[in-house]
Amino acid sequence: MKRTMAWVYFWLITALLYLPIVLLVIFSFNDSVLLTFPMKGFTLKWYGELFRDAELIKALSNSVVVGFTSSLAATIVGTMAAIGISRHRFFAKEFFLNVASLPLVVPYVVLGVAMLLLFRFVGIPLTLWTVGIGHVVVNIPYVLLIVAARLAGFDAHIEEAAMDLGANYWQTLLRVTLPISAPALLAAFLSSFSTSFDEFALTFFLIGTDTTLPIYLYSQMRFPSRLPLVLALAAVIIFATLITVVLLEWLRHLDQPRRRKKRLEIL
Amino acid sequence: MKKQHRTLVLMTPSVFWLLAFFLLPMVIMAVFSFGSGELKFADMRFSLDTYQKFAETSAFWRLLGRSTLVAVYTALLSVLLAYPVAYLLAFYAGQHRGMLLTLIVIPSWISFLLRVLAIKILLGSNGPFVNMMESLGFAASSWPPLLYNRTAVIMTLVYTWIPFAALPIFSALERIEKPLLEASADLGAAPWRAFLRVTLPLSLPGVIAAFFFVFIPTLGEWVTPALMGGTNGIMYGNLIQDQFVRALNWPMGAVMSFVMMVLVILFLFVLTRFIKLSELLEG
Amino acid sequence: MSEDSVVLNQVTKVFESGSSAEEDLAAVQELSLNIRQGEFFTLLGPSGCGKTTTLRMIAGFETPTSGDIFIGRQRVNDVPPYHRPVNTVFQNYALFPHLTVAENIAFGLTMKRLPKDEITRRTRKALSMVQLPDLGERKPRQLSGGQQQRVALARALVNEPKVLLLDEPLGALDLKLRKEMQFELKHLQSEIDITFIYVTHDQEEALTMSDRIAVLNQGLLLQVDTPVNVYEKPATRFVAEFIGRTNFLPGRVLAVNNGTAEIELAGQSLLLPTDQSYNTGKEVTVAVRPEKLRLNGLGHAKNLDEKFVIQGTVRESVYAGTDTQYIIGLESGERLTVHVRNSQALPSDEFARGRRVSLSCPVEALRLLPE
Repeated sequence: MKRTMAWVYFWLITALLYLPIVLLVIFSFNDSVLLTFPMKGFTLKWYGELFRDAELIKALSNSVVVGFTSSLAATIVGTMAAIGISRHRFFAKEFFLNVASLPLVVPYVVLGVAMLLLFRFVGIPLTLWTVGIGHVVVNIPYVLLIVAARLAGFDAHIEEAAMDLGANYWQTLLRVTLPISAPALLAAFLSSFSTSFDEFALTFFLIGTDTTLPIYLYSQMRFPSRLPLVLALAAVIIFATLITVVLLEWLRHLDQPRRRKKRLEIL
Repeated sequence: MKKQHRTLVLMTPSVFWLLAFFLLPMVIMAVFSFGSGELKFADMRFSLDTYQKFAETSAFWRLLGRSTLVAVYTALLSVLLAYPVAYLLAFYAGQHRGMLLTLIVIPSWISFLLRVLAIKILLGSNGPFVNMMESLGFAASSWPPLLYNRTAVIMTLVYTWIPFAALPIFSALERIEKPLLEASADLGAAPWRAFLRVTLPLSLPGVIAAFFFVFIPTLGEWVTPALMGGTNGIMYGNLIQDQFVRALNWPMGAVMSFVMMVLVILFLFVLTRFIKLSELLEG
Repeated sequence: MSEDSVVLNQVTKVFESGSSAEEDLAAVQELSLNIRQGEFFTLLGPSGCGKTTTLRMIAGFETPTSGDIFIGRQRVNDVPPYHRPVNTVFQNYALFPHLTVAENIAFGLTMKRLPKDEITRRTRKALSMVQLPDLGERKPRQLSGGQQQRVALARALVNEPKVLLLDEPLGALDLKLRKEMQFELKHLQSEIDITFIYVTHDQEEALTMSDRIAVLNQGLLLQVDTPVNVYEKPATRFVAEFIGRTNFLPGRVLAVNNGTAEIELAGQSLLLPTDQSYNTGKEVTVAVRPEKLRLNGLGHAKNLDEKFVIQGTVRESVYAGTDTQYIIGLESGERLTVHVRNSQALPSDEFARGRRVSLSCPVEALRLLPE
């Protein structure tokens, strides 16, 4: 009895979580500027208008560029730190881990204000660059988490074997450690990209006159006439996100070691 | 010592980044809040004027208190609603647990702003929910407003947090060794008692982690209140944001931010009595 | 001409616990070994005895706290593993999961930047040497445990190292396969003139494969000798117990004279060789292997060759296929184990439970254990 109740509850929650998304997609085809229920006709015109909206295209491309570069930086920086943590001993490692986890919990408004002040004091103008810097800070803990978990999972002897066979430290890293961790690196990258692409609360403080997609969306949400356009955009983003998630799931399955064959064998 | 050099090379980028773009900004914010409002180091003087003004404005303090309350409610509700989900994943889902976990996390990957928008449509005065209620005979006017108040903010926040709250709880439940549960059943404990006396206590670290994981960021939340809160639902974060956007009172903004940061540090300190922060990374 | 291949000179390895010096772990204590070129040398001992640590120090994964390690004539303490002329076969094989079998084997050659055709040639040769000629393109996870082990072996040997280090390579295989691989490894080693340093906790494995065995316990070297000597002339009680089964009898020194001690044992006075100088009256232990004891009915005449005789009662008899194992209780309270080969068609029931019997053995079978 407890089981069925739990399953019912689970699917209820899941349905609730997906309901708005489904709604967004449905209404993106709505032939009306007003968001009344029920829908008034089916149309694809909003999708067409999407491509004609120059400002939106610009915001979209900005988000992609910022997402890509900040994720690249976060993945590189975070992976190096993950290797350092998993394979080396050093002074104040615990302290570093604690500090590196902080961006996960600190409210973005505090982080935003602090970084804004930094840039002001040092004289760095607010541009997409400052946004990117902020995104890297936010993503480092996630990259650390994903990559360090992978590194902890594989046989430490493998790296010793590489060195035994003549590979020095950096060769081992390049030819053995990183290739084996590749799925985790990719997952970390995609995770960072996704976070960066959707980031608003922090970006708000660090952006100057440029726009990113969330910033653009926020400004559009106040104008009812532009709402259908926003919905079409929403549907596109949903679709892109789903593809990314499927990719990640596929990667996770690649990353899983095959179930070990029984050791009792006949040669 | 080549080994030391390697460690240095590996750790320098992240140490530098966190130092320069995380710790340093915090320090600057703290220093600035105790300053005279000048945006140049050379011109700054020590001053507690802004702090005094902050302390004297009771509205600020009340808002901080209300925001903390909102954060507490949000975290509590999120944990409560997420626990059964985590429980199911850990004990009933079997081999599908990874897939189901991904399933409930996927919505979080879709633009947060858009989902809030969708909720506004759903619960709006012309939306399907109200229409349904009206067709059932409940006039729209007899219902309390669903949007633009504090309840709407809490509900929206809980809605977005449930999947994330489920993760640490799920981790903790998974780590409970099955033999412990079998032993309690073997010793005659009825399912409810086994849960209360064995499962729940053992999952407590995960629950506490989930609570703080929701609570602390929510303290500074401002986007949801801005979209859904109306006048009654604004939070402390909106106040801070306002200082930089409308009131253009940067010193006050810094003071408010610093006060919030101190609060966060306090709560973090309480949290670390229960779990190590670095364990969040392992969660 | 047999020169020294690997020499350890007073090597000590201490693992610091980080808290206090008392809790530091001395994994290896002042170990000195001279391993000869072309030898099959085994480090044998229970878990935690330091054998794996020693192997890792020779490979270069650990640095000695003090002492020197020489490979060939070269002192290698500060030489990293990738510059040492040794290769290792790891316990769980440590094959690179992202490379094919052929790429795994070729790894060391690739690191040396050898020309491509030579790499291909040598890889192919190594594959056929371990009898896996067609598996080059597979990935490690597609192979069985036994096949993976051979790939690990090929991967090490293809580099033609001076010394091959093997860290319990057969531990994960089932019994039959293990026995086959033991034979193959021994055979392989005798064909190629490479020194093998083998680590195991399986004493039977050590006895069958080695030219010499070093027995270790708790970081200390107890004995280095050929399998025959380690078995027949164990240097300490631990060695006697760890390798095969042993009976221990208490005795007393009556006199010591020029390499021979007169020992009182179970009421008899025997002359046993010794290199120690005992005080008269000292209590000592004498060891005798179960298969060396002969079981006789009480009425049987004593064989004149066997100077040592003792009487007892059969407490247990355990049929074990090739032999029957008896536990005999002595009047003094001790119990001795005797292994009697079942060379007759059926085991005799002359030695059923409760029967009084006499045990005898030649004096040479008795070993006086030094303290």
